[in-house]
Amino acid sequence: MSRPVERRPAYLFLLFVVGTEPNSVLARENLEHICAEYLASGDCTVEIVDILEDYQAALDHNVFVTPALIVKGPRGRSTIVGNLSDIDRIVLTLGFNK
Amino acid sequence: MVSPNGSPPMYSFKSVPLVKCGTGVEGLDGVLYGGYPFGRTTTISGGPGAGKTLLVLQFLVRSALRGEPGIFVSFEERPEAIRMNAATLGWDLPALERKGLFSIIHAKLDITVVTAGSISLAGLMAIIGGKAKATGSRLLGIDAIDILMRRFEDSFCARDELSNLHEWLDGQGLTTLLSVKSNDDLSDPEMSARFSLLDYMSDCVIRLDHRVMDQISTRRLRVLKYRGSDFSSNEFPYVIGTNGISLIPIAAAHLAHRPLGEFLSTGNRELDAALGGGYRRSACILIAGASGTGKTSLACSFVQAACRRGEKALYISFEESPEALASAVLSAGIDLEPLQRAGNLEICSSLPESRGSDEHLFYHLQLIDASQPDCVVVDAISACRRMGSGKAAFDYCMRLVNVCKDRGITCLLTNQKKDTPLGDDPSGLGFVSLVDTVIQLHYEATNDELRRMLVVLKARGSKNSPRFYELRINDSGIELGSGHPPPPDRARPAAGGVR
Repeated sequence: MSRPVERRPAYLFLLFVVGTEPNSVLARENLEHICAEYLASGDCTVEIVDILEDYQAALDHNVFVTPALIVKGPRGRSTIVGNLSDIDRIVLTLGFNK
Repeated sequence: MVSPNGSPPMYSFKSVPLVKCGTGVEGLDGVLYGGYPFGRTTTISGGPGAGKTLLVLQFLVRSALRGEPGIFVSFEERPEAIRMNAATLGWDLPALERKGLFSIIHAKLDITVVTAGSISLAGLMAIIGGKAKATGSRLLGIDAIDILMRRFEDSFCARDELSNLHEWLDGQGLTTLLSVKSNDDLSDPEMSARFSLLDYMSDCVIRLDHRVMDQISTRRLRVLKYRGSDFSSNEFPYVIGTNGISLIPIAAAHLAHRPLGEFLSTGNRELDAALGGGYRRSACILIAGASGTGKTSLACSFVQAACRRGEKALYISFEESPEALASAVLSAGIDLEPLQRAGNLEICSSLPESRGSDEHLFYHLQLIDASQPDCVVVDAISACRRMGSGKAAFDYCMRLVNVCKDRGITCLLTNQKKDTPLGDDPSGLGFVSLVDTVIQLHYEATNDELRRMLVVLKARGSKNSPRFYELRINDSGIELGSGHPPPPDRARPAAGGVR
């Protein structure tokens, strides 16, 4: 049995949320759903930053409007703000294909 | 607590006074009856160049200098630009930042972001909350919040978020200044609706207005509302000077003029006698006359006498440079140079049209504060019209004279006017009721020469001579020729004004 090929995930997601504020909760759920739907497991790394706990990280990344998703992927770096409910727009922005 | 008849009271009520926070702006605390509302939000709106950012910054810097830390959130200017602008006003922001008394949050909004779903300002609040906690700051300035509000796709959302932010700020007990571009500058009515909410929800609203009247720029501040507090609802002129924003004292609501004091020599014995003893201390003296009749010489003669008594004089010249003035009066036997060198005399020359009347007044009041003179000369108030209009000139003179009278400063004004019937308003600006002593100069043509004539029209609180005197000016000084009694037709001096 051959070992699975070790490869670096194609996408790095950095999601900035604020505690349990409704849009933040929605954004987490939507991101989970997007990853499951469009990306193979191991294709992405998700890191969640709660600004209530680490405001400096938000300052460092220029995040003032929340929720905010910073994506590092094959198309470079992009920022998406909102609760991520507009999935079509995200798919278009990141160039996922089903 | 039980009421006299034994039954428990429905409720107990205690009146709570509104706590206020010093604005750090000269004159503004008085207008706001103490300062900004403590722990609440104040909105400052205005057009470009009105000084919104400066008003916010000044509040935070002056508070920091007193040891109270604050946070400045900038949606527009970069931190380097803010630090540089502050440095021009002598405020060392990096030093305050190192001491933890001042922090800048540069809320640079990325314009390339994609919006996918509802957004909120919870992130901004979390950052401000975190920073406030880390630095112990209770004071906050948010500059150009309009930039942020434009990011929302619909105005309902924008207004909701604004109102959430406001509630959160109030809940945190942060004393906040919010600056926003005034509605007039937002051509889009939909956009301006987003911001009108700010006026309704804030506890205190201040409008800054920068306008140009008669080609002269003027700035006005007005308080629109102040929940739970009294305030002055007038428009107040303000200037942006080397120390930031200052409000200019308006002609005093209270009259605190000092009574006329002892007699002071005019520098000429005969003129002293004609005035019944001289000028009175803290009086306002007006010398009016056509060009070349000797107004400046009489003013300088008074200044010289004052300085020789050891007093201090401030000479505001709108017509000549200090050097030109000093050399011009040498021919009247008056040497100003030693008086300047001894530090008794300060000459300040400026072109009337170089600034608006507000700025002239502000600058001259600063000089008065700095050098504390016993007497002030303004030569000539007729030039003040060139500050913009008759109204501007009137404002300048009226307010300057009021300040002098409040402080017991003797104030001598000259006015250049053509020969007009005696008794016509000698100030030319209609404020002669404030003037205690009026001397009028005119030319009189005889068969073979032109003479300068002097008559005292008014001398409050002294017995002046009604005579006409010949005024002679030569290298040995000023002389008054023996007076002749007033002609039967006193209504008109000799014609023939020479210009």
